[in-house]
Amino acid sequence: MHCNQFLESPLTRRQMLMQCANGFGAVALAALLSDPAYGGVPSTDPLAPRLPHFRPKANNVIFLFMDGGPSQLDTFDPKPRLAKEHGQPIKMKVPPTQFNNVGTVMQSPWKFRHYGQSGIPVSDLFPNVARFVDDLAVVRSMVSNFSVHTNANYFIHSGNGQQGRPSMGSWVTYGLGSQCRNLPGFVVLDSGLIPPGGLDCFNNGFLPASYQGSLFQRGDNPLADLKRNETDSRLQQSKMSLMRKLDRESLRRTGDDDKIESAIANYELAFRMQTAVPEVVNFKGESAATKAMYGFDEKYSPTQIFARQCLLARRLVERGVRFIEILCPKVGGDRWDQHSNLRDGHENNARAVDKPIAGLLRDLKGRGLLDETLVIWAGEFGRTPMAQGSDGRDHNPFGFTIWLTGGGVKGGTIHGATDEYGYFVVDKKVEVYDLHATMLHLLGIDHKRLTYRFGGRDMRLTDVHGEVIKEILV
Amino acid sequence: MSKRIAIKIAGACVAWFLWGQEIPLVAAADPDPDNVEFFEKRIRPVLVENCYKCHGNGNKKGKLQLDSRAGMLKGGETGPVLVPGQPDNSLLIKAVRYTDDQLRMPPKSKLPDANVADFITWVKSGAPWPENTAAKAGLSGKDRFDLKARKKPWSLEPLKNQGIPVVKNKDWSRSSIDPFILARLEAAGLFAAPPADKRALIRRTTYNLIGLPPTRAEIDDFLGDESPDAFARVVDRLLASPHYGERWGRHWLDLVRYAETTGHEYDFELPEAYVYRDYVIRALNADVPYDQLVIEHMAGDLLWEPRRHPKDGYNESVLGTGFWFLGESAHSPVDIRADESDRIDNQIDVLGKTFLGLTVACARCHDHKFDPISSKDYYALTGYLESSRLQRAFIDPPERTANFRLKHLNDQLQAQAVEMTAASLKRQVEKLSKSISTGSVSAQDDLRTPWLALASSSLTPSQFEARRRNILEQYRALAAKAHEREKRDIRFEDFRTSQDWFVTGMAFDPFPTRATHAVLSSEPDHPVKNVMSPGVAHSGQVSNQLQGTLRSKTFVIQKKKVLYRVAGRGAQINLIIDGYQRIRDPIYGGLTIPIDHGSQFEWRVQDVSMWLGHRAYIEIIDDGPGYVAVEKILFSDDGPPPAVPNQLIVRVLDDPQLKSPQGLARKYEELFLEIVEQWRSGAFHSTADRDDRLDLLNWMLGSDLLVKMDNGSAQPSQQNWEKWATLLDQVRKAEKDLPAPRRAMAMADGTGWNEPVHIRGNHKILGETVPRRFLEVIAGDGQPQPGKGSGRLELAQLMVDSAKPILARVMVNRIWQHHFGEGLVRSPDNFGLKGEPPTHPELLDFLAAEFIRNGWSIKRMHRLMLLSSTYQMASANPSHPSSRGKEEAIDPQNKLLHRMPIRRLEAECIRDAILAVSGRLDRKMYGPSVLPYLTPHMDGRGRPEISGPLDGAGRRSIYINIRRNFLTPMFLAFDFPIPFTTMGRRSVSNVPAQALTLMNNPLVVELSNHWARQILAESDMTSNQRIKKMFEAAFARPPSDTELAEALHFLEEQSREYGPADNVRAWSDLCHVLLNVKEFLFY
Repeated sequence: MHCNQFLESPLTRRQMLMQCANGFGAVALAALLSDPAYGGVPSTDPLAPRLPHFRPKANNVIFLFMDGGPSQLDTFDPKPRLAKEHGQPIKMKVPPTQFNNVGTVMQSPWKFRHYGQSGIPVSDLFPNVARFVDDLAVVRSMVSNFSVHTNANYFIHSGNGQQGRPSMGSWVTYGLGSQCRNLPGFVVLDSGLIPPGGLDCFNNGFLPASYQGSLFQRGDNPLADLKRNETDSRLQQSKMSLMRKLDRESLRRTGDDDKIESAIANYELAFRMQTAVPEVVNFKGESAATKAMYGFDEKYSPTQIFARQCLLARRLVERGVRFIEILCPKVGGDRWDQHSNLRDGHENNARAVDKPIAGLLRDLKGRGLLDETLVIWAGEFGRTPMAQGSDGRDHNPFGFTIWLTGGGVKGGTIHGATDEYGYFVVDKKVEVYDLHATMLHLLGIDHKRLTYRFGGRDMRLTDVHGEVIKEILV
Repeated sequence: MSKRIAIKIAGACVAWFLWGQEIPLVAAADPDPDNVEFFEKRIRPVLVENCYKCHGNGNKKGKLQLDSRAGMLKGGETGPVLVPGQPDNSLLIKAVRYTDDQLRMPPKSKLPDANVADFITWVKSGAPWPENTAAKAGLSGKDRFDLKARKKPWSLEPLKNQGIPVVKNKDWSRSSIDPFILARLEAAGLFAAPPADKRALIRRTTYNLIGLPPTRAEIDDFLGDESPDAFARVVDRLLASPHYGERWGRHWLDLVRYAETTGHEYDFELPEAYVYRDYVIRALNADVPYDQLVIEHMAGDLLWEPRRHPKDGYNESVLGTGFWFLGESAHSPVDIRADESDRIDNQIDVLGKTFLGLTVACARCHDHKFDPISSKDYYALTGYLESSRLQRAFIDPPERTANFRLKHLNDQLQAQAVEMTAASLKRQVEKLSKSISTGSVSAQDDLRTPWLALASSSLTPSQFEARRRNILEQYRALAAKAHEREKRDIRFEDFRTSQDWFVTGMAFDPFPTRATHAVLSSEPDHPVKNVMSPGVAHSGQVSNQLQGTLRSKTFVIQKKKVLYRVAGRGAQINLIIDGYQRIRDPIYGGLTIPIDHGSQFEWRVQDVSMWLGHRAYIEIIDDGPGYVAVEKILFSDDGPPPAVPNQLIVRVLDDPQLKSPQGLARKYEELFLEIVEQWRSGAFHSTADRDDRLDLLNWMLGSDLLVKMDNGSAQPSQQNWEKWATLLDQVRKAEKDLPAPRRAMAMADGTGWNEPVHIRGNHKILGETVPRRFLEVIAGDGQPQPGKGSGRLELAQLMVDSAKPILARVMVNRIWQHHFGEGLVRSPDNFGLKGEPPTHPELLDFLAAEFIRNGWSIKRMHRLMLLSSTYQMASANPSHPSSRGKEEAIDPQNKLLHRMPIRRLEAECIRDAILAVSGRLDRKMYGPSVLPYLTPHMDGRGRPEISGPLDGAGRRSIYINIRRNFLTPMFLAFDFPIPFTTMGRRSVSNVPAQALTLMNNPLVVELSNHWARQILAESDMTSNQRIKKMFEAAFARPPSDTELAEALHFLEEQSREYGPADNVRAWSDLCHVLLNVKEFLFY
């Protein structure tokens, strides 16, 4: 059914509004106008915090999206057989790949070392993140249904390979509402690379626009139309003041209508956002040590960019933003999509994110925020064990690695396995649906009960699939 | 049990699965104790632990139960999973072995090897199962789709005429709609709201019908008109406005997920999509009957007498089919079949929801969970789409491009060219023959000209004889090789007898070619370049300026290569596999072959080894100046085939009487002169050896040797020269006069094709093939088989005949919804069992019946609804004194319509209204869209190189280019629907982005300035008058005294801030405030 299971309040919206002076203000966000588009049930405040189905382990999610598909074989899933058979034809049946330019087996150009108590091996691409392996659950048995970026991007974001479905951040804010009054509930930090498939990766699909991902651009004015045009805030204030008077006047004329009152209240939030958003992206109050920890001082400019985004993510978490996705910065070559020149491409991409991610984990831990924040590191698929051409790797949706950490995740865990080439999953296959189910579970939501009636069906993020990966939970 | 019996049982089970007949099942005999132990220790626990979550304990995913031997023998959707004694033939074993991509169980991880070995052992030993309960395993066939047992939704029942209800209040009703509403209100003890005031009414109606605010003059007219039909006049005026089609066309575009790019990675253009948008606007303005619109959408390309544009004469009906292709499409999908399935899923989804209000696409993976729609229904519809194709249709009226004069001129030019060429060829042949006889020609090595090799007069007779035999031998060997090769290839097409091609455009008409068409050059001494055989498809027969496309029948790819023997310039050949149109690298680039090498036939090879077994067709496209000629298409596993020796030459050489070069030269001369004469006289095409003769003729035409014979001295006669030049000139002029063809994205018919059911929606696991037909629950099970082609037109006609009630109900409900805020059915795209039931079922049926009775006229339906008292009620209003507040308490959702609801303007209306009040609106209609204004927030692959203007050139929002990956943020903030499927009801959310847009968006600010300048431009007005004018523009009412005072005060304050010199800024601020007052957004 609809999200009504989350609604605690027996009040009608009108009653709620009537409890506030003038019908303005106190109920900061207004009604989702009854929305039974496909036979659903009308709801009230779309972003009011809602109780989860059960006690959550995490309140927020930070999704580090590794756009392009990092190679599992060169990061977290070492395969000695690749070195042994380097340069030889691969001894297994190869399914159709994106480019069908199948080369010979290619060993990883990077060394793996064991880290931490758990001894989880990590390649030299991630020396900083490696120091946190005891906090990570490394899932080596991810699969995707698509070997094309766009479909795979839609899939990992929305559980469906086509355009138009709600992104997971939208589902999460729909399910839990927002804890934050002055900021959007679902924020995407644009570091420079919009994934193939475009902004639809973060869309609310058939969910109301209230759950749309807000793309924060870099700089002081991250949101569209956030900056006032008036040269002086007094000028805007006086406009707002006249607007309020005229609004009241027309309310008197038409009678108090829910929809108009809600729209009026909405302006108050928008007005506050004009200051709240610039405030959150302003790092003046952060210490030099904190900034350094994230990599603000690194020489490599993509690292600086990603460092700022990671720090911003922490600040958003502190303010109660429910779901934060961080996109990758441009590193000159390509996103994590090395069809050729794996060595340079992966090195640059890793260099951009490794230190900032480690900084984020350390900072979250230090502030006690990691316990209530779920951090997910994932691309849309992995890469092939044989070369594409001579020095690249093609897309591989049949087996790749992601990791999770934070609230409710059992650190120091390796889950599942691929075959000796690292091509196909052979043990404990984890589907994107399972990842979504697990994420929702940690947030206290039963993925089978988080539904929205659309097109005659009760739609779910996990469609008709999904199992919580119990083995990686505390 | 012996192996033989076991196999027999398995076979019988297969038969059961196929025919659905119940047969008695023999249980396995009690196995011996060792087997029992093996089963209980090594098999059953593994089954319980790994399989029963889905296939046991009452679970039967894929209709498969593994908790009994009978269950295994019966199997599931893919047939029996166990063949006792035969592990290699048992799907159970295949699944646990994990060797098949499609069938891997358990799904998450492979079983340990030891368990797999146990299962193999167990099956080998006959799969003993120590219990006697095999027959329990659900063989009743209960899980098969039973249409009769399915509940039918109310919406599929015939329309009920229950008469107009009797009401107590006799004075309220103005139209036949009103008693239906009033009766329900009276029954609930509620009163209808009083009539709306005239200003509110005209504002509401104007927004409703044309999506723009009323002008001051329109308001004044209405206020001044005190006749009883004043409002009817307003309605009629608005219905006749060309803007009506823009407003209601936009509602329709929501249904067909209209966009102009394909989304996904690069957001490619959907060429000419706007032509469909314009079609919709025109059709609504013309009040084309709705049933006609449905047929045009489904099969407008197949109508014998299409509806034509009243002025320009082009085909309107075909444009409707553009809607099929407005969906998104992936870039280089690895699995092209899966991609096709997704595209068709979307097409069926849109078809089902838009027209039928049914979620047909739910039946893609399984029979519909609620509604009486089976998977077979879904795949029966799939067949129509697989039998149809995308085309860029030529929509001009035939008389526009069929240039008969050009054809006639071209015929004359051809004749003249042949005459001139034949004369010079004859002369050249005679001279060559003489040269050979005198030994003045040096030997060359050309298979068609062995006479040259034999020409040396220095040969002794025995040397001549030896050479003659030797050459003859070579010829025979070559012929044998070619023959051998021919047996291995499939000759798909040689354009001799084939009628199977689908022709569009004028270029290939007549089809395939006329006899011996000559390719002309513009050189008068050599006017014929070469001559086409009649077995050539040629798009330049009348003129290279004409355009056209040939599409082949559908075939299944059986060989690794497709070989084309082609000539041409500026043309291309596409291979469309599984309907995949976006041919691009990295995977699909090779499916397009550009043809640009000229008039000589050459082989082009296309490697299709990746797609063996896939469905495909060939497109031969001449889309501009130039032409394409195709002689032959082969399917082969090898490269280009060897040339076949010319049999005429063989025959000449194969004459033992031939003793000398002179004799040979005579024979050749004779043969060649005969060929030239046959060609000249037009007797050519009836000769038996036509192709060999043509071959020699073309050799002559292309031979430098022959040209040399004239030593450059050949000149046509003055008379010939003049005639030629005049004709050529006339042809060129006529070509210049040819109009550029008008094109549009549309559907075209292809070869009829039926699709098997994809089990669980997986195209790799196929079930029974379903003949094409409409939904069984509507049209019954005795539907006629489609005839030639897709049968889409029959489908469309069957649909408007058999599904009349639901078609009418769905459409009148949509109209109602846009007038009254909510539909009578509040789930407008779902009239199935999970949709909302109608609030006023009798009224819905009454309206549907009226709709049909009035010839499916949408405009008459508007009139019926708008002229009712119901529509003309006030919106938010104190109710009748005797029951104040009661209405809101009893009917809080206003389902009974005790008042007219207040509604927020849609995204496009908000922008259009701002344009209108500010005086910036450009009312120009139709044509290519204006690029969207790109903000820095609109980033990603496929971003247009340039941004459109901030104000969209003042055009209405429906003319702003809709790019899937770059939707306009202002529209998105106000709930513009993501164009991915039918969206009959937009959500109406309330997000801060809306307030931010109106407060800070540069467009809103710019238009506020524009408005202020307009207001101040009229010099002889007082501030009071200006403010009054602004209020009327924004809210269709004058300001109250308080409002006027507040506005004046505000102007003073702001002016103090800006200084008197900048008066326009203060006024601009006031304009900006008015646009932000909520009343502006609601109506």
